[in-house]
Amino acid sequence: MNIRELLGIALFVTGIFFMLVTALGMIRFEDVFMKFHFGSKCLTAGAISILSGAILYKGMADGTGKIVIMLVFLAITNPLASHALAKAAYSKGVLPKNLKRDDYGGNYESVD
Amino acid sequence: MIIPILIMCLILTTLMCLYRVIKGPTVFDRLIAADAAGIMVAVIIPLLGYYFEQPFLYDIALVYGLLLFLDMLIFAKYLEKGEILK
Repeated sequence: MNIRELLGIALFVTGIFFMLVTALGMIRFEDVFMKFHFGSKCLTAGAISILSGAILYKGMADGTGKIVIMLVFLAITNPLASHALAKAAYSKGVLPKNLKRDDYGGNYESVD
Repeated sequence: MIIPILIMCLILTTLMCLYRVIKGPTVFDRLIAADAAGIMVAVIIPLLGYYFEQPFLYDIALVYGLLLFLDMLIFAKYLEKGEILK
């Protein structure tokens, strides 16, 4: 077992830690916007870690380029989808629970 | 040896996300949990393709990720504006 496979295994362990934190946050947190926080940041970090670990563990072979394309694609589109869903949630009037101050002021039409 | 353990842990986290899909108070809870579960499945599929040595599963994972992104954007636009195409 050389140093490349050891780095791959380390990235696998990091990614599975982020995925478990994402699943725990999805179960335990009650607020919608906290779940958006987990679904955009923690999940992207886990997916990038596991796919990078798969690239390092496998080495250059058939299909490595497709995994690289998928990694870049997930890193771009997952926060974009979470942002679109959060904007839709605010526009429909779903607010955080312990909200101290609202800069839009309930003017849901002007959210960009 | 580590690939089957990794796939089992990812299936466990996917099932934990599906709990929130079934028991969500609002529709946005269900949508973000479904997004998380879908991305976990999109990470599982290339690992399965590597474990069983079937290279066509990488293409399936790419198309699955693309359709998941499009799905979430269509849901967000429909829930916000009430229409998709004018």
